[in-house]
Formats: sequence, structure tokens, C-alpha cells
Amino acid sequence: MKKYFEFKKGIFSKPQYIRAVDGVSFSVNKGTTLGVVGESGSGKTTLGLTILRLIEPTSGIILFNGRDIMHLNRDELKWFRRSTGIVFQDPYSSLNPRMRVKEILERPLKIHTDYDEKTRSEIIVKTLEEVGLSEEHLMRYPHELSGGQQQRVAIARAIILKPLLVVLDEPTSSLDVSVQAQILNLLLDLQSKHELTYIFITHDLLTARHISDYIMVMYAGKVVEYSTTREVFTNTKHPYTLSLLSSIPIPDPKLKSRRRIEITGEPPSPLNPPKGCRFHPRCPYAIEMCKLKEPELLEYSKEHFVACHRASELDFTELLKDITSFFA
Amino acid sequence: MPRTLLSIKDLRVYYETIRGYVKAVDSVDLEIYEGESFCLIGETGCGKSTLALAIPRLLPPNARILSGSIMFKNIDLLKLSDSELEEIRGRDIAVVFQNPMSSLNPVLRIGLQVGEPLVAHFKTPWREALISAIKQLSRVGIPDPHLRSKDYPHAFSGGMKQRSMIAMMTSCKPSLLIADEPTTALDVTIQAQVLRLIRELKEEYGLTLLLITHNFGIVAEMCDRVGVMYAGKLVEVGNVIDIFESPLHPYTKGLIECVIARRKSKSRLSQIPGAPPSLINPPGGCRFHPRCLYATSRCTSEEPGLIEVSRKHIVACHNYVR
Repeated sequence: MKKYFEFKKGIFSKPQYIRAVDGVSFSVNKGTTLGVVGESGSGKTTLGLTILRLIEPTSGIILFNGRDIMHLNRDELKWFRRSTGIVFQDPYSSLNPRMRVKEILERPLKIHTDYDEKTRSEIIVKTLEEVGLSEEHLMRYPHELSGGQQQRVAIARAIILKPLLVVLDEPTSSLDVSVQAQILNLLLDLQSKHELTYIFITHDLLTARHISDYIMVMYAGKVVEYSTTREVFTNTKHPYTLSLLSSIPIPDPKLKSRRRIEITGEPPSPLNPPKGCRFHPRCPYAIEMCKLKEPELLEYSKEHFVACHRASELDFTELLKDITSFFA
Repeated sequence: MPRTLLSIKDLRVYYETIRGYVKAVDSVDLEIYEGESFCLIGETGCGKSTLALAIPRLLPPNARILSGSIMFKNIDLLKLSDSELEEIRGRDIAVVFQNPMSSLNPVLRIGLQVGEPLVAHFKTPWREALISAIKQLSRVGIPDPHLRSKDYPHAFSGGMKQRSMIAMMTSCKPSLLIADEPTTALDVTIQAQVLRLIRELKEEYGLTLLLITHNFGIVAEMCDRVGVMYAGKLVEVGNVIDIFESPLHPYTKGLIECVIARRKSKSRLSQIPGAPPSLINPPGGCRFHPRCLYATSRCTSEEPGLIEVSRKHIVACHNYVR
């Protein structure tokens, strides 16, 4: 899949393209969670929005339940909208400030079902209880709720139609630690209860690790590594994933002086990404080939995909010993 | 015995609002020793930034300092006039804020801003100040500092802006550096770079660091001692290993478990029920009692004072958990 954004500097200049997501392919199985990890500008949010067809990809195919979502007729598109949900990072700006909780949750039911008012109310109250709120919150406006409660309403709205797939775009990033834990627990509960499939977008590897079955690491619009959570954390293959792991502050004062691989520099501009491997200017392991040829995402071992020319010769086990031991 | 650099006694800072006083910092006592890294941790609205910014008195206009003293090198900062304080700000006490974009002046060249403290405090001629600004910029890792010092802040990335802020704030080699969530707005790889830079400069210049954060990872990486704040109160102070391994306050315990439990994938995290209270009308007795699993009737009526449980480990709880 590819998504380029047109970017014009002036009216008469030639348009340039921001390659937000460039040649990404993957699949997610029902009932599992895919964690998409990356820094700002890596294309992870664009990817999430494109999957839901909230923005149209420049090219590529997205199959949902075996159907190509780019070629749906009106009714099929409605079915697709009903089967998917999304939760955004900032709950306050994703809830209409002029609508009460009841109206917010009633909207999807009115659009997609022909239930009468009584049934709708029952479903709304039931869903509210599922997300840890109660009837007393029904008539509140979003500004009368705390951040955690707002996010619960946003989650209730996303799951009220019993969707198959929910895209969670940094749902806990704007919340406090204690509230984050509540929301992560809630998401895990809902998933096991309704067999939901999640695409969890985050910049926080620790959160991704906690909630995901598979992790996909993105850098400058490209997937650099994709595997099971366990593999990514214990058998890291891509130098960028390694530097991400090395960069997270580990909440254990005893690991303060652990060995770290700190990369220099900053992520490239997506308007003009480096030639060859997009990570090569920052990569401590880069060789001549990395500057010339873009590495393909290849299956290094079973279910472990890496886009690095040196994947088979580099071994980071020793470097990651401390971090791995923290999680053991 | 470490020497005390900063000693805060019975500090109360309230914000005046139309709905009443917000008791952001309420009777807080705190000592910070020379050369240490002290971390204030707490959730949004617990008063950690208010407490830290009360030290250089960089508070919003509706803040009222109602009582207390802040002794810094044997001077009570609260008794100083604005102009006297101005001499200390930037020279002895420097502050790095969360958002580097809003703390840099968008219409002044970076080099000018980094060199300005020297001119303001030491009457250094501008020509020399600019040269040392370039040196300082190169020290914090800005590539081509000669050229880049002539840039305006918008031409810098978030990480570079924060580096420039740090360069500016350390140009006078202050004794206390207050960093208020310095890396919250940055990406994780850039965060690691900036944290390392702060650690290095602290060693190089012999700074005392007061770091405000909500991230326990950063606490573990950066600090010697930790103060935990909840709803305007300091509830626990101890060295970093004690706080992580034997937290005494139920709130600290809850927070640490929220974080540490992430070791196991897909496990349920232990959670603290409810949300922090409004500081206009905080709960009576211990402010944490409505969310506390160990609360007794005493906690609802009587406010716990700070108890020194073991050497250097202080907690405000009637029935602290061992």
C-alpha cells in the first residue's frame, strides 16, 4: 500500500509528494492485536486512517474480510463503516462538545440500525457499563467528564455496533499513568469478550508490547521490522528497532547504567527521504550498500520480517540483555 | 552529609479562579541537596510544576503564594523583590520548559538568545557573548553552530530547539537547573539524546537538577532522589531505589505497579480506582483516601503529616504499607 500526499510550495511550482506510507504490506488475523510503532512522521497514523478508508491510498489493495475496501458499493461501504471503529488520541477533540454522551452513542445506532428508541437506550446503557461508566453519565457533556472518562466514551462509541476491527490511534498517550492502566485493562477485556481485532498505533514500545500480539515498526513511511511481540523484543533484527528499545527509559533504577545504542540525528523529512535505506544516515551499522540500495522487507525467519541488508549478520542479543532481563 | 542547596518550608501556592481557590501546592516541605538529581513525579494537576516554578517565581498572574519560605543559598527567594530575583533567574537558577517552541522567542536569532543571559548577567560584550553562544550550541550538539546560530527558532526541529534552550539555560553555569518535563514533547530517540545531554552537563558543570516528570522510566534513569506529589501534597520522598523497590505510600505503590506490571505481556495491570480530585475542594483528611485501598476512618478525618520511616525515606500516610 502507498499513500502520498501532494504538497505544493507555490501555485505554479511542480507538486511534490510526501511519501507518508510507502509500499507497506501486512495482514492482521481476527481477534489479535497489531501494534504499529513509530516516531512522529513515521506514517503510522496515515496507515491507520487509510486502513479505515478515511483517506484514500495512492495505490494498493486493502482486503477486509476478503473484500477489497477500495471497490465497495454504497451498501457495502456502509457495512464496512459499521464493522470498523476508531479511537483517537485526544478524546476531548474527538467528541462533539455540543452533544451529550447519550447522543454521541446514539448516533451510530441511528445511522446503522433500525432499532426503536427503547432498544437503543438499552444498548447504550449496556455499552456504557461495559466501558466502566454508568447511566448517570448519559446526560453529561464531554467537558463534564475527566480525560479517562472521555476516552471511555470514545471507546464505547467505537464498539457500540460490535465491529470486527478497531483502530486505536495512541488511545492512552494523553492520559495519566494510573488512567492509562485502566484504559489498557478495559481494551484487553473488551477484546477477549467480543473477539475484537485491534490495530494499536503508538510511539510507546512498552505500551505496544503490553497489548500487542504482533508488532510492526515503521520508520519514515516504511516498515522496517514486523513480527510477534516476543520476537521483536527478544530477537530484534533491525538497527532502528534496536535503537528504539535502547532509547526507552526503563522504569528500573538498577538498569540506569545499561549499555545503550543511541542514534544521532533526527528522522528525515518525508518530502525527501534519503536514498537507499531510509535509516542509513543514522544507522551505526550502515555499510556502502545501504546508501545505494533500498532493502526489501524479507522474511528472515518464520513470521519475522526485516528490511535490512545486514539482518542475517547482525546479532543484538548481547546488547539487549539488560532490557530482555527486565521483561523476563 | 550533603549540603542543602534549596529548602522549601510550608509552601502554599493557590490559584485564584472564579470558582474559588485552587490549592495547587498546600503546605509542602522539601529539601534539595547540592549536586543531586531530584525528581518530582505526579499526575496532571498534582501541583508538581507549580511547586517547581514557585522557586524562581515564574507563576501565572493568578497564582498567590500564601505562606512559606524558599531558602536558596541562605536567601529567602520569597522575600526578594522582582529586580533582585531577576538577577538570580538565569544566573543561579535556570528553567527548561516542556515546550521549546513557546519558550524561544520566534523573532530573534538563536545565537542571540543563547548569548543573551551572559550579556544580561555578566555585562559580557555582545561580540564575546555570541562567540560563547556558538561554543555552547556546539556543546549541546547543534551541527554547524556557526551557521545555525544565525537561524530563527522555526528553522530548528523540536529536539534542536530543546537543545538550544538547554544551551541558553546553562550558559551562565547556574547552580540549580529546573527542567519541567523537558522531553515530553519529543520523540523517544530524541528524548534519549536530550536526557543524556542533561546528564552530561550536570556532571560537567556540577549542576543540581530538579526534574519534573510523570514518566517513571525517566525517574529511574535520571534521579538520585524522588518526591511523589498527589493533589497538591508531597506524599513521599526517598531515594530512587527505595521508591521503586519498597514504596511506602499506597499511591506510590499503585503508580509503580501500574508501570512495572507491564513486564508481562497482556496481563491485567493493577490500577488505582477513580481519578485525582479537584483541588478547589480536595477531600478532607488524607487527600488520597477516596481512592486508597487501605483507608481507615482516621484517614477521612485526620490529615497525615510527613513521617520519617527510615533514613531519608519520608511518607505522609497513617498506615503506610511496608
